[in-house]
Parts: sequence; C-alpha cells; structure tokens
Amino acid sequence: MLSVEKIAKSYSSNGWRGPGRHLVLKEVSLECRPGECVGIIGASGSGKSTLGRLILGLEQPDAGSVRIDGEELGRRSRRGAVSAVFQDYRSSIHPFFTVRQALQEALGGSRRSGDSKRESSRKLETALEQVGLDVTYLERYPHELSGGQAQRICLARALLTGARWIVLDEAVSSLDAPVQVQVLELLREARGIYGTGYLFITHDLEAAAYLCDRIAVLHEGRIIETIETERLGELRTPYARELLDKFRLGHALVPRQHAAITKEERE
Amino acid sequence: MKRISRLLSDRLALLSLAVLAAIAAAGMLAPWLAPHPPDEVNMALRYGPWSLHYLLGNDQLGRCVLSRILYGIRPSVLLVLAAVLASVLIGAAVGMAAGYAGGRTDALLMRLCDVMLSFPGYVMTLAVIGVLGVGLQNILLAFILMKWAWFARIVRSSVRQIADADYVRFARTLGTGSLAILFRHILPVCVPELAVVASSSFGSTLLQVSGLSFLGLGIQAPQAEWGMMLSEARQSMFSRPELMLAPGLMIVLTVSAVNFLSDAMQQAVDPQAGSSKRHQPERAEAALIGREVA
Amino acid sequence: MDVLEVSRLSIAHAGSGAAIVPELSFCVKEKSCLAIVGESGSGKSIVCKAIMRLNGPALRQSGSIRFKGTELTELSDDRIRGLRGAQIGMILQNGMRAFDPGLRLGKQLHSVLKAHFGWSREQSRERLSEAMELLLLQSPTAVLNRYPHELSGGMLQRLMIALTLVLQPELVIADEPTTALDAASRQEAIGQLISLRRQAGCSMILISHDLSAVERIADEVLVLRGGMTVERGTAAELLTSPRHAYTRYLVESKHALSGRFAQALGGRTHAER
Repeated sequence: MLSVEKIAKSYSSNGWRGPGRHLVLKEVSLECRPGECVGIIGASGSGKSTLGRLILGLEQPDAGSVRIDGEELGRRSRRGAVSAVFQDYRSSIHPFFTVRQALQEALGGSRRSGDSKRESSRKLETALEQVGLDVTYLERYPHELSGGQAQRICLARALLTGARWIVLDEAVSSLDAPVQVQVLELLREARGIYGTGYLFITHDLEAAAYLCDRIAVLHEGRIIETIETERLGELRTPYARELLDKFRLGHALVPRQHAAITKEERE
Repeated sequence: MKRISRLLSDRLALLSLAVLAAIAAAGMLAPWLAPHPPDEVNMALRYGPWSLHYLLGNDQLGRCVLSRILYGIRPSVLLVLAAVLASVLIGAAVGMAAGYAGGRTDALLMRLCDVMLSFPGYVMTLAVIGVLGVGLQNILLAFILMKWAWFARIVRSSVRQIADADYVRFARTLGTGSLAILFRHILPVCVPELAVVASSSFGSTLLQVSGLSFLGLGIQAPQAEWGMMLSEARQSMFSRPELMLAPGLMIVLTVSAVNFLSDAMQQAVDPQAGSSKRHQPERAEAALIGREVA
Repeated sequence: MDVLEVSRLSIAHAGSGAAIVPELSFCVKEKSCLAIVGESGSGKSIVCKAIMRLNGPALRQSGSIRFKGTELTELSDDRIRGLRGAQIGMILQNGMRAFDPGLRLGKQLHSVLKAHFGWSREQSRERLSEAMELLLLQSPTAVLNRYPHELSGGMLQRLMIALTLVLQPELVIADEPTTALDAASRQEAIGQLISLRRQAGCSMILISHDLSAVERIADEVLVLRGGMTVERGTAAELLTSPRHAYTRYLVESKHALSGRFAQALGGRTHAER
C-alpha cells in the first residue's frame, strides 16, 4: 500500500519575476493498493514530476508524508520498495557503464544479495529476456541503444531492484507510437508476473488509459479528480473535461479494415 | 579495464605515452645519464659543434647541451607536471563539493574562486615572488594558487549538469551515498573535459615557467631549464641559431605528446567520443532568418 | 506545376559513404499537404533539411530538388538563404531552440521581417499582431516584449507559425511540430497549422510520427523507413486501408494506443468532430 498524505512542496525561485516561493504541490493525497496501476495526468508545470520525486524520496516534502505499507522510508530502505523509469533514455544509464554494469548496480553487490557471480549473471540474463532483449545486449553501451531498447533496459533495471512500486515518469513519452505500445505491453506483462504497482506519471491520457486501472488528474498542485479508467468519460471537473475533449479530438479513430499484425511483420 | 586497453590500442597515444615516459625517466635519472655535469664551464669549447663527446654540442659557455637538456627536464617537465596535478586535484575537490552540495556551500566556494580569478596571472606570481623570494618552487606555488580556481569552476559546472542526469537520480533511488555517487557516477564523466583542459594548461604553464625564468624570477643560472636555455640562445640567435634547436624542439615534443595523450585519454574514457556523428545542431536561425542579420 | 519535385535524392555520410537515404523521389502539389511519416531514424528530418541545404558538411547529398521549376541544388548559398523564410518556411520541432535566448522576441522577429521585406518596427509589429491574433495568441504586444524562456513551448510554436503566416512562403516545412508539446497542446498546434494553410494558401510538408496530426492535416502521405519509401498515397487511403505491412504496423500501433481510451469514452468515432 502506497499512501501519499497531504503532501505540499514549494521551491524558492529567483526567476525574472523576482525571488519568491513557488508552491508547486499544494495538498496532494493518494492511496494506491498493492499491485495497482495508477495514472497521474498533468500538464507541464502541474507538479507531476515533483510528485514523482517526492514519492521516490529524492526530495523531502514541506508538509505531509509518503508511506509505504504504513512506514515512512529512509534513503536506504526505499531500495526494494520503490524504483523508477525516467523519460530521457539518453541519460538514464551511466554513459560509461555497460548494460551489465547498469543492471548489476540495481541488483546490488554480492554482499547484499549473497549471490555468487554466476547467480547474479543468470539473474541479469533472465531480466533481459523478460523485457524481450537477448543476452548480447549485456555488453553494449548506452549510446549504442535505440530509445525502445534503452527504456526496456531501464525497466529491467527497475524490476531487478525488487521494488514493489515503480514510478514511471513520462517513461514512454519520448518513444514513437509503435515502440510505446511494445513497452506498455512489457509493463503490463511484468505487472502480471511480479505484481508490481505502477505510478504512471504523464501528460498523455491515452497512454495512461492503456495501462492504468485508475487515473488521477493533477492540476495546479492538487489532485482534482480520480476515476477508474473504464469510466473515464464520466469525469466531471471542468479542467478534466477540457483535457478529455482535447484528447478526444485527436483520435485517429478510423474503422479497421485489416487483420491484426503478426509478430514477424513487425520486424 | 576495457578503457585502458582501448587507450593502448591507439598507436599515437601509445607513442605519446612512450615519449613522455622516456622523458620523465630521463629526467629522474639525469645524474646517471648525463655525460657531463650540466654546469661545467669550459670556455675553450664555446659553441662547439656536435661531436662524439658532446652529442649535442656546447653552448655559449662550453657546457654540454645534452646534459643541460637532461637536467632541465626536472624543472621544465616534472615540476610543472606536479604543479598542474596539484591544482587539478585541489580544483576538482573544491568543484565537486560546490557542484554537488549546491546552496550556500556552492555560493561560498564560487565567490572564493572569483576572488582568486580576479587577480591577473603575472601580477599574482610577481606578488608571491616578492613575498617569498625568487625560485622555482615559489613560481609553482603561485601557479597552483591561481589555477586551482579555474579548474574548480570547470569541474563545478560539469558536476552541476551531470548531477541532474537521470542515471544519477536512479542511483540515488537505490540509496547510494553521496560520496559513491560523486566518485563513481559524476567524476568519471567529468574526466574527459578535465583532461583536455589540464593538458592545455600544462603546455601554457610550461611556457610561463620558461618565461619567468627568462625574466630571472624562476630558475636561476647556472641551473638548467629549457626556457632559460632558449633565452640564453637568443643572444646568439643570428650567429648560432642551432643553439635554439635543442631546447625548442624538446618543448614542442613534450607539449605535443601531452596533447595527443590527453586526446586519446578523452576518447578512451568516453565510449562515445570518436564514434561517428552526433546529433546535428539545430540550424534554426538559418531557417528562420533568410540572410545573415547582424 | 508541382511546388516541389524531388528526384532521386540520395544522402550519405561524407566520411564513410554509408547511405542514409538511398534514392528518394516525391513531389508536393500546389496548395496541398504532404506528410512524411516514419519512426525516429527513418531519415525524414534529414530529407527536409536537405531541401533547405541545412545539413552540415558531414552529410553528402545528390539528386535533384526543383522548387517551382528552379533547381535548388544549383543555386548559390546566398540565393538559397534568400529563399529560406520568404519562399520556403520552416517550423521546427523545439520552439525553445529556434530563438536566440538573449534577445526579446519582438526584436528577433522584426530583424527577420526587416531582412526580407525592409519593414519598419511599426509595420512588423502590426503584421505580427494580426497574425498572432489569428492564432489566438492574447496580448500580442506583451508577448513580443518577452524573452524566449518566459514562454512555454506551445506559445513559442505559435509564434513561429505566426511569423510564417506573415512571411507567406509558398511552401512550409513543419518538422515534428507537435512532438515537443504536451499531448493536450498538440491539438491546438494542429489547428494552427490548418489555419496557416488556409490563410497563407501555401503547400506544406509535414514531418511527423504522430498519425493523429497527419490524419487531420495531410492530403497525401509518404511512409519512410530506413530512408526508403514504403508506401505512398492519399491520407484517407493510407490511414483507413494501408496496403504495406509496415504502414499497417504503424496504423495498428496508433489504434492500439488509443483503443482503451476510446473504449472508456464509449467508442465514439471522429465523425462527431
């Protein structure tokens, strides 16, 4: 159970408007059941990334708390509780690490897990297979990976930490549509296997609807409405309805007249 | 380890490394390698040409040029190297602390750097010498006092950029401590830039030391130092130009080797450098503005 | 006559000779919009930069590019620069990077207009304000007084479109105009591009991997993969009944993404637009 209770966060800024405190999150509360996938929708500047960072423990809230299974977690205890996949695949992996090293970092040293080198290696290979990549990827460097490949590796990495919750901060936003679908499918599979819960933070309502059970709309530092995905059309607050309309308009909803693509055709 | 093997496979780098190692070794073993004492004056042999006994000939006071070159390695190369390394280390430490800690620490340290950097280089050196007296050590001390702030700034802005990267964030979600992040995640990525800057600094420092020795503020005659040898050769520039060859070429050789090596280091450390095309920068201005507008 | 005729355009790395675009031919009809669709790395941006000769020396290109009958590859650099903006306009992906961060927007835009038309500051301001109001940018004078970092990506995009509106080029090349925007702002941007086409009566090349944008604006579509044409046809045909497997794959993915969203809304079609 992940609970966010009345979180508030502000930053001091020294922008051209002059110095001052900018209240990014005013009062945010959210409860997520284990294994649930919750989408947090917000426009740029709504504070969604800040919320993500607070849940990950990268920053401390000014008020309120983030609890996982009732406990507020410290820096080290968060490992294994919550992990992340970020947006920019180009800078998500240490540029000088091989994929193996990056994944190993998530697994932790052998002291932590008590694994022998061979066991660790096997775990890494299994993780890669689960995200649809073969073992040769272990020796590659980040700049040799495409966006989709890099994000898959970041997902494998997050899963390797054994975290019960993964914060997906615009994790598919930089990807092309076909690759987005692939990664979203992987996320779904992983959830089925490990029972990991997701916090899918994004501005893209469609992608959130694809993956999430529930959607929370973040606007001007508050969650103004939460609703189950199936009942998305029933959003009531004016901002949420506006948002809905903008997405509805953009639909490429053209009747299908062709059979579904087979996996071979995808290559 | 992959990186070192990559470094060694670059032939130019290998060559530069070999040259520098040879020069450094020669400098350290000068007392045993030099055929004659560097300050042995023999007026009968003034401006002597190359010969079996004096492989590089004799200078205007009959001293053995080869021996002077060998002994000159110590102040010209080894001590300058030590000074540059010292200022890089101090600067890097300060820069990392400032860049990662941010806030007041950053502000304080950067203001300190500003103060150090606002002194003009030579003035600072002269001031230090005025207080402490002439001599090579004091010049190098002055250099360290000046240069560390420069390196600190460079490292600090590098660190600030990198600290924002997603892979650093991820490491933090793993609970990795700040020191581990600094040394494993941030520092290695700073190194390429730092290496390039440090190596060009070496070249300019070497030249400055020579310049100051020329002014009589550094190495004092009769000690050997390449810059000083060059300035002494200047007096007979038109009658005996060959005297400038030995020290001049040595300076060129050493500085070039350091530069090639640092290029190679940069390529070796950064797996991406040297691989093909990066993202083309936006030629936005060109597209919007049909012609060059001042 | 076609506004743009590209014949056997080849682009390769100058150093290694590796081909990025083997041999591409296409044309853009007058007052029509051609969308070039493909995944990242398909070469679509490079092709359009090649038209404007904006690729650096690292890329070598060959082939013919005729703009309104004039062979662009034979023009001098000066002449090409003169064409840019006034005859062939470009709207770029990232609004933030298109402008000089150190100058106020009004000043930058005015310098462009002065260079092309020789207008005074007043004239520039007037025409720009007109265009901005057409694109629903409130208080144009205030906006023009700002620096680029003070505006959002969406607003900067709108400003670029306003400038293009004023310049009235014959051909506009829009390179991934919606990609850097919020999903919500994308629809507005597309609306603006449609306005632009209508007001300026120009032809357009739209580069995008966003099929919903393509569906709304484009008349014809060219699907690119690895620098090669996979399929070509009218937008309606391609998006409803694509023939090539790759196109089907792209369209299917887009459907898949929107699928659940559509379901959740009760599966209404775009006929209700």
